[in-house]
Amino acid sequence: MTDIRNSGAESGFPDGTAKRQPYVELRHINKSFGEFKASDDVSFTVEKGSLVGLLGPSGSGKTTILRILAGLETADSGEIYIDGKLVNSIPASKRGIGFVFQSYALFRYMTVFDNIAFGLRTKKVPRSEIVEKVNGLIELVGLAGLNGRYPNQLSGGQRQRVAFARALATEPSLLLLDEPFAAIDAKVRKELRAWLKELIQRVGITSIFVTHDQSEAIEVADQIIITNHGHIERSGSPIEIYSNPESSFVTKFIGQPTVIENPGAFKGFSGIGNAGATAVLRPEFISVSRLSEPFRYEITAETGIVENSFFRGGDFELRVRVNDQVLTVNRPITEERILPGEKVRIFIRSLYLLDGDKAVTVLNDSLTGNDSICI
Amino acid sequence: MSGKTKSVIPGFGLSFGISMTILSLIVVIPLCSLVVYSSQLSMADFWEIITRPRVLASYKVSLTTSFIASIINAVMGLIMAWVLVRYEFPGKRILDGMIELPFALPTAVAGISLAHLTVSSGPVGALFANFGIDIAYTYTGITVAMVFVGIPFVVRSIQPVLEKVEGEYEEAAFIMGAGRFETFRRVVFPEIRPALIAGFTMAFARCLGEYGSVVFIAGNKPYETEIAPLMIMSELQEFDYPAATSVALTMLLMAFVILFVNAVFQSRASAIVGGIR
Repeated sequence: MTDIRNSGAESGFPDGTAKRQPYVELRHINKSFGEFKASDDVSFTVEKGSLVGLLGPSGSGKTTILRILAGLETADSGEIYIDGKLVNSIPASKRGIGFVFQSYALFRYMTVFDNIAFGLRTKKVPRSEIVEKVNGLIELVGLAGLNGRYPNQLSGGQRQRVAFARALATEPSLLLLDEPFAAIDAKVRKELRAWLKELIQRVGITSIFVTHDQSEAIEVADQIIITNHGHIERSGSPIEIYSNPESSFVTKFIGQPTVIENPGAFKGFSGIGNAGATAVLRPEFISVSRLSEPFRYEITAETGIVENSFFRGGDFELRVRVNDQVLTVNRPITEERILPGEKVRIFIRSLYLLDGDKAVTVLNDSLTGNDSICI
Repeated sequence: MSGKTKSVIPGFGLSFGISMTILSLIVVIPLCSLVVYSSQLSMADFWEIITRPRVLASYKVSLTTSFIASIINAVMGLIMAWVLVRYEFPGKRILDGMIELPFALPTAVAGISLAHLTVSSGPVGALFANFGIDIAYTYTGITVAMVFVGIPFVVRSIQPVLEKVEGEYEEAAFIMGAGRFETFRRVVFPEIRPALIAGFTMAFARCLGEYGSVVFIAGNKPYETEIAPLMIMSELQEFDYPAATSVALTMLLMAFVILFVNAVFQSRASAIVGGIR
């Protein structure tokens, strides 16, 4: 227990006083499986003590990166540094990592205690020390009293906790988690995300997790690395990535994007002009109001017909046809309800204009004083 | 089953009845007849028959050779299953199919060919005779025949279980610093142990009752290489039905004990994997 806390104290990341140094570094990693290029010149750094989410659609090579880091796969070329040391030729067991598998890979014929003790026993740690440490970990992950249970006698969430404790038992300096929440039902997942984030911060271990779920990455990670077709698209804090996606792929991946053609045809964006352009809209960029409600920027607002309305709990998600394109808009439940078939006013505050691989923000003319600006 | 819950196949009453009838006709009634025939004897007579020195010697032959053969089968079957599941090689499917030959081949055919091969003038027997080892008409010969009939039980019980042992198990152990041997002993072996025990006990029970393939290679020397099923046969040839059924009943008991031991192991394993609360 205390040992784990100590290793956390070194990081000094949360208070920001310690110098931020790259703890994990990948340089130009390439990996192919036959014809399939799983990693294409992957380079990134991870600071000590941070919690990083590798986010990408399935098949984008995020798990391969994790496995290369762990030493479960060998890269065709490129260098891997952990704590300043080149680890390419160091076997997985000597890299000082803990790994949580997507399926947890808990040993079915071992009790919770024996599962967690596995790594300590292979390292020939004295028995009394094992007992003390494993009990401490069981306490830490909140499974006290379940020492003698077998994995199949536990719930999904409890199994994840065991997998987590097992990965931490050997005091790794880097924790890798492959889709840690995928095998858990939606209800418990939210709870576990918060739990895991809190625990990782408490233990203070540098962690990298893989996910295909953007809300998971945004909620849990300090830093998000987005992968696509085996290469790194974008890296940054969740807020940075969400508010300034920069690349065309990330713009179409993050948030709740609606892709529209010919954005210049929408009122307020006449500056775009170009007929072949494509843009991405998010529901939060658009406001919807009834024609009877007063509105300030009447000139640059559009009218549309509501085609569908879906109840989402806190608000209604409306599909509105404007200029022969369907936009997705949210209408809070506290506002007057708009029914399908109604003619409504649509105001687009801003949009991401896609330009090749890049995406630039374009504001509505009414908000800039008749000139569209690019950020 | 009062018709409240509808199942895909209707008529629980009818199908249950058929199952019970078949089970009775094929299994229960013949087994009961063993008890009925034997019960014509008094307890003392029964005891006298099943403890005749020649019968006792035959139990010893059967139990010893079956046990050795099953141990060999367990080890070899495990290796064969491992090779068939974990590696790709040309002819894998053919090899996989050949495992079942001992099931399909008439046991007498197997017995005759094995005997022919292993007598001291036969091709294999001659080779071993050079080193002073006799195979046919000894314990070794009986064991060889039993290994032949028992091997599919072990391979076929382990194979499906081994296929399900995830690669992630081994990776997890590997990351936590376990070597190959330790990974096998502590992670893979516990997974396949129930199947191995099932295969071992089934092979053991089968070997114990095996007659056709063994009699030809055994030589059937009284007190030396006579197997227990042969004792039943020879009692029958003397029209001593009660004696034959008494020996048969004893063997039935042995089979029950073996299967019971297996059941105990299996229920323990399934309690762990099945997740009772």
